[in-house]
Amino acid sequence: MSPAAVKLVRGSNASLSELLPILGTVVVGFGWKVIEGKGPVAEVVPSAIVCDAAGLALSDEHLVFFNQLATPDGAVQYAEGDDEQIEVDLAAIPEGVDKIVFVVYADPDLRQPGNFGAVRNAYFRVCDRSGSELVRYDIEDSSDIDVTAMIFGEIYRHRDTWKVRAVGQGYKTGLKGVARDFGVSI
Amino acid sequence: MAFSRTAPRHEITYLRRRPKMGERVAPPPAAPPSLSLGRPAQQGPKVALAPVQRVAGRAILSADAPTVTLDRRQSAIGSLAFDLFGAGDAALSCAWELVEGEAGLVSAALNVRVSPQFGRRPIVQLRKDQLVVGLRHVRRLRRLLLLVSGLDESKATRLVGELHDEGTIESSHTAIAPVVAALAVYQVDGELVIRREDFGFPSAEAAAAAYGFALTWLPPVQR
Repeated sequence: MSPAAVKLVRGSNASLSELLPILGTVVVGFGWKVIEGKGPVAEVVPSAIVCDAAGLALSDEHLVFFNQLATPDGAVQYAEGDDEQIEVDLAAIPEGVDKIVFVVYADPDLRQPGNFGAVRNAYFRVCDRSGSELVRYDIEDSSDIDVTAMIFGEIYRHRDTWKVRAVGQGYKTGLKGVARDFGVSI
Repeated sequence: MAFSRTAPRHEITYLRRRPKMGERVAPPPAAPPSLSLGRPAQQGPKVALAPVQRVAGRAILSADAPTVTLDRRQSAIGSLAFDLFGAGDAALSCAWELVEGEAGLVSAALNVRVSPQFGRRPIVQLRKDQLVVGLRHVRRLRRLLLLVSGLDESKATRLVGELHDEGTIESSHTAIAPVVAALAVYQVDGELVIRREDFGFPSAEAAAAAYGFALTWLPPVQR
């Protein structure tokens, strides 16, 4: 239990620098429930994109997901826990990084790729290293079957501090659309 | 291995048992060069490693350039779909093996079109004439062997694999045998390495056996 956790709604933000006594590693957790029908199940995959001041990925290697477990500098790493977790060492993030965007996509398998219409109770949260929740964003359920990828939230630099924002922006163009917006070749 | 407390330990060059009075000791054999502290180990001939070939757009595999390596995103997003184009009544089949050791054969001739499922999608599946490999669970996959039967003897058939980023991997084959092992696919630390083989076999089972696939998996009973 962590009664102190800040609840975010879509578009709102909170200061991580104020919530953390020492700015170090935070753990970003994702969770969801997928409603199963008769056919193939939507395979929901979380990822993080590390961006520069222009809002573009630093490189193709700055997309962190289950098959690319860490950025080259090691500051953002894939971890186990929740449904999925990504660890961010705020102290180790290089100067040129302006924000880290957390994207969840339905894997675009040719065979019924799935969409967010079947995703329920999704959340995005930031915990400290011990696992206490600092910030939580319960994503509003979408019944939009056209949405195939979604930006859950982002951690971004604000002057000399780090903040977290609840984004909740759906993409109908899937991971490809997200990749195009952030300049990742997929 | 049993440990002997009495046998000389010649590999420990900085420790030696002192011989007793009157004892005659054969000189120890020379330590292998790698343990020599005085001189660097003798260098073998330098092996030139070919740079890793990536897929950007269209990758055509041939005897001269038989291998490509998909990057971590190409290897794990969406599906890899193989189709045949060209002469004859060519048909695709595929031997697969999971990291856990399970292996099987997907083949229309055997009426087995599926393999173990993740997210209710078979990791390797024959859909009509197309062979689909689901990449979301690529880390469960150890290797694949793509087999083509019914090739034409003179006109080449093209085997084309398409990725989510629309890049393709292509290879041409003719009927050197009833079944040709066209491509071998290996998962190496999350990256798929694809190599053109082009070896002939009398049957798909013979090809799978030659490559050491132990076909243990039984498909679910169809009703």
